[in-house]
Amino acid sequence: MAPSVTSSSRTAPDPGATVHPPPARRHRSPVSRVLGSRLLWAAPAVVFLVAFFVYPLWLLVDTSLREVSLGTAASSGNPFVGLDNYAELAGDRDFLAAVPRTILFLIGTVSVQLVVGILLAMALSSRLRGLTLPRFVVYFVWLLPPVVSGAIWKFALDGSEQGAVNAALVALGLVDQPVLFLTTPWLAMVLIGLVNAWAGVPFVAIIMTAALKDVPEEHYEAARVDGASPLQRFRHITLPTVMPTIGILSALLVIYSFKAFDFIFVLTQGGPGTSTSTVPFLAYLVSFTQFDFGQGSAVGMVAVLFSLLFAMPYIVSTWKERRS
Amino acid sequence: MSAPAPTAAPARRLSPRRSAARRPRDTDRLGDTGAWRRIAAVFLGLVVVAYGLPLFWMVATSFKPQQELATGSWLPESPTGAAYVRFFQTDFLPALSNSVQLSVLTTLLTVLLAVPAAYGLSHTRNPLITPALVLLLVVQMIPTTATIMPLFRLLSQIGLVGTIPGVALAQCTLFVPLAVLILRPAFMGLPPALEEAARIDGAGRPRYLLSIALPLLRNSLIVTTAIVLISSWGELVYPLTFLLDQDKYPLSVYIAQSVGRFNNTWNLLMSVAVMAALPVLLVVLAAQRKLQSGVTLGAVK
Repeated sequence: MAPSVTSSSRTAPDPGATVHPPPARRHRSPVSRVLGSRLLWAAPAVVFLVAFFVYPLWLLVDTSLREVSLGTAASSGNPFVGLDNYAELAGDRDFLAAVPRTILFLIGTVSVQLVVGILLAMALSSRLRGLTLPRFVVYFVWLLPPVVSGAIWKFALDGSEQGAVNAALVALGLVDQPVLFLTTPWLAMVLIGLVNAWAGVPFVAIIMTAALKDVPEEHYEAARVDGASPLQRFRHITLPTVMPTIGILSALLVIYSFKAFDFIFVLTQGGPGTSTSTVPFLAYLVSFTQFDFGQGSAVGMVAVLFSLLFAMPYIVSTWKERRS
Repeated sequence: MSAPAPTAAPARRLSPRRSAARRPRDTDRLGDTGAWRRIAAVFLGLVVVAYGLPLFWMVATSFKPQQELATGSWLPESPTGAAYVRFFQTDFLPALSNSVQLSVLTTLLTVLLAVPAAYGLSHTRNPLITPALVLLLVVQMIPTTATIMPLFRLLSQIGLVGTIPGVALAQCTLFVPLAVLILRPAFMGLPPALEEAARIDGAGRPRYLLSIALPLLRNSLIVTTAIVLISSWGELVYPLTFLLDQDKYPLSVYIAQSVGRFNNTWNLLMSVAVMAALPVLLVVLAAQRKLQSGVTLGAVK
């Protein structure tokens, strides 16, 4: 731990010390000197994260290289099988189907969140009256536990006339039979993406509303004087200013949507079969419903690598910004 | 957890929220013509319906009597609080108590770890800062499903599997980075001269932190606490997999498990959902303004 600036400057001759009695901190013990180092205050959190996050990640790597089943999960001496678990993945139909499904899901749900969220932020930044209610709704849904929004949509999309959506469709005569929203695999996957977007749009709207406030008002004034149309103003003034925010936001949305667990669990449990599982959800299913922990850890490792890949631009930009 | 989570890069923007009133009257960022305003108004109306309707279904269904569930009408014909009464008599109180214990413990641990960390990582030129910040970012990005199994092993090694403190520790891995990344910019906003002055007056770091910095930063602290409290209130993955005993289930797990279990009792399930949403309602009603400054301060630059 590097000594802090303050503690070393204290040991230098201090002309004031001849007049005033030296402060007690001058003769600090080595212990209190270490305690005085500023970075040390972050040590408990770092130690905690290493113990409860980095070490489990290492366990994940280790487990993914072993043959582990329900009976042997607690012991550490499971047979080492090298990359067998990964090799099996390459021929596993559930896994091979989950990868493109995850990518399509991410593209779909993230674009809906971005487009609707940005439009909503623009509407909320307008000078319309009566924005209190929409603003309140945005904050409420942003903080609403995903398991609650999931339960609402599970009810609304129920495949019988009890479900609110089917009740409406039947009452309006649009369908004869209730639609099996959550048990038709492709439809269920689309709906999971939409429900994920429903819950994610408020976050985009909140961040983008703040970003829109940073667009200098004078620029709009100047453009208006020059006779620029609203669309031109959006394209040439608003968009360039908020583009960095949109970039970071997109990265975050990909990462969050990739992590989505609650909606899948509540709406379909990843089924029928594994037909609505993303890669991270498949890691859960393989470990906790098939109890193949070695294989599950291999899927988990693939999920970790994917998330690091998605996070890379974000991490690199943070790193560069710190270095400069 | 997908909903909240402002992940944060070191935020540069510390300026207080600019008030909307400073904008010239009758101008509009979208455009100042009537047509654009009408489009914006219609769009907002659609958004309110898209969010209001499901919330309305939740509340309306929770007041339906059992025999009305099959009819599929949106409004209860003879509203009743029976679902709530039944729930209070059976499962509600233990689940509520578990939720409170779990979220309060998680929040306490998170704040205790994150406040000193945010302070320690601010205003210092130590080269270790960048790796520490990157660690915080990475932790937030790894899917929770990948670490369930190894965390389960770790918790069973230290005898905490199946206990609420064990789940709280696991949840802290999600919220400590979040809290540090919201609080660190707040600490960066304090002038270094303030600490210098405190030091000259003989206040050590703990004293400065407790009696000078934290009172000044109380808004950020309140926002962080509120966000962590609400997020841990709704957190599902870890309690679902680490609590082996039904008596320990918090509301979130109770809801998730019930969705599959009671097939025809949506009124019961929706009453639980309403109860789980109530604290969120209270927090938003109490602190909507503050939440906005908190999330934008901590989130994307």
